[in-house]
Amino acid sequence: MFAEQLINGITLGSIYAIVALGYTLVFGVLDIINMAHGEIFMFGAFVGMLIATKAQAPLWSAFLGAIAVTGAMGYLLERFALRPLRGRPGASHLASLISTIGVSILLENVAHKIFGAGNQLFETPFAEIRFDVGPVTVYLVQVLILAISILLMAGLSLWLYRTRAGKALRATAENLETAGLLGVDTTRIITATVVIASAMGGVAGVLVGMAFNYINNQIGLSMGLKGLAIIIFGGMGSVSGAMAGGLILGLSETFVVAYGSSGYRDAIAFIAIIVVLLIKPQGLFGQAAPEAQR
Amino acid sequence: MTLLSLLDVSKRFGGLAAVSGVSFSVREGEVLGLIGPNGAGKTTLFNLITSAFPPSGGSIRFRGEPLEDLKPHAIARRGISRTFQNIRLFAQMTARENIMVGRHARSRAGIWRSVLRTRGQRAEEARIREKTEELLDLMGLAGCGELPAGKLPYGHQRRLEIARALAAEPGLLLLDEPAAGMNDKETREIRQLIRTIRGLGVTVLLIEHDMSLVMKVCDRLVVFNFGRKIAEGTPEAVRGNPEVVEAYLGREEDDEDA
Repeated sequence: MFAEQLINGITLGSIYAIVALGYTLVFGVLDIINMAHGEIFMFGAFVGMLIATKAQAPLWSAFLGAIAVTGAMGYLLERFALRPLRGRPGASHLASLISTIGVSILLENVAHKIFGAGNQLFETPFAEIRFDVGPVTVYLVQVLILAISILLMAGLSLWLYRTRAGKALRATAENLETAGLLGVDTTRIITATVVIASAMGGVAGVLVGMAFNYINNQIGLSMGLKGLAIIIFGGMGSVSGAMAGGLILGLSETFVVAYGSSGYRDAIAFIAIIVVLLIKPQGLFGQAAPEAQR
Repeated sequence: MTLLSLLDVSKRFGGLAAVSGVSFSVREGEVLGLIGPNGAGKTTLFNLITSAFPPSGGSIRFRGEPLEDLKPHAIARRGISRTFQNIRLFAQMTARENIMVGRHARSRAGIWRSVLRTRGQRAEEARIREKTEELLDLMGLAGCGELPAGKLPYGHQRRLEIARALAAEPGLLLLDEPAAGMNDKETREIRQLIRTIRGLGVTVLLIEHDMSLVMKVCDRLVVFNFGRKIAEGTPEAVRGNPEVVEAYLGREEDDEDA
């Protein structure tokens, strides 16, 4: 029982972590919360469902399709909802936050128009495949979710810390103006960041579909709020904070349901977050701002 | 040969003229000092050259090419690097990574190629690492490479910022008060460093308040006061210029009032 819950918690937590990474990357370079991220995630889930369940195509093509569509949505979001507002004299940087809220409402309603308001089944051919490891039952889907999450997180970390473009992204996140003066094309870095974050949201959408077997046009909102809570908990803009925060939230939710009451699932998870913030207001891995730099 | 030329450059912030009608040129290979009292418009001039904001009038040319319409990253790629009066390192990145980001203007591998890790990309990264170690050695920062830049002592941070600017192999290096807040020994090291940099064939435009440093290291000086150029010439000539003495020390009548 305990081991199974542990696996459930890690599976859920790694999906949360990927969603939160999308938020934290964009927050890092733009200093805003991308409120449309949850809805882009939801579109990833729907595209995955169309390909894997409706068209019965292999699962890898569902991931590729979701990445392509959500990556393109990320590009359009940056190009038309964020870039026109950036660097305009007199434009508060809250303007772009409001702009992403507008996009999120638009996307939710587009999904409602196309897919309807009800639940849609997300079936994969191996949803029922499971095997026993000693007394513990493990679903193949869980292993797959875990493997993809770990690959994605490891790949992102390697890219951020080992490659030239990753370093340019981190430099841009620390100080946009200085990075530009050093020859970093910050507009391209910002575009790439929003595209990568959105594509990760798309992958997370497919993973959620696989994990829960159904999706609807509201999942963006609830997942979005959780992703938001995780990056505040883990430390705004912190990559390791998003990963750790996601796992902690996933595990605590799972154990509250298993050993407590499912009605308190969200409440207890969020109480845990509030307690951490009371003790460490900058979040688990957050840096206390040394001085106001901007 | 002229490397950078400013012709009648002005910058107004609202009603305030920070720089007005400034013309001078920087010759290839020289160390040119920009001096003048605080608020004379020296840093504003650096910001105009690097296109942090556009000039209100006049033109700035680097190797004959106008810079006004270029974005900051494009100017960096043409070979102009700078340091800042208040150090602006990426505090959370290591010293080594700071230099690698400085190298950005000189390397070509793009974002998508970095994901795919092509052979050319890996060769590029190897060259960046090699150059980075060279610069750490040159700046006396060997052994500090893995430390977060924000944790380095102040003098090291100044030198790291210069190393980061040099990583782009600039033709022109803009140094904004590199000796600010340094003691005599560290200032002597900076003087040595500026000479080394010139030895590498890099032209230097230097803002500095430490007069002994300026007099010893600069080939020529341009003097500013209230956003205008008031004198230009060799350190000896400028030192004897009555207008310059007045800008720094005030008129004799002012002294009597005080």
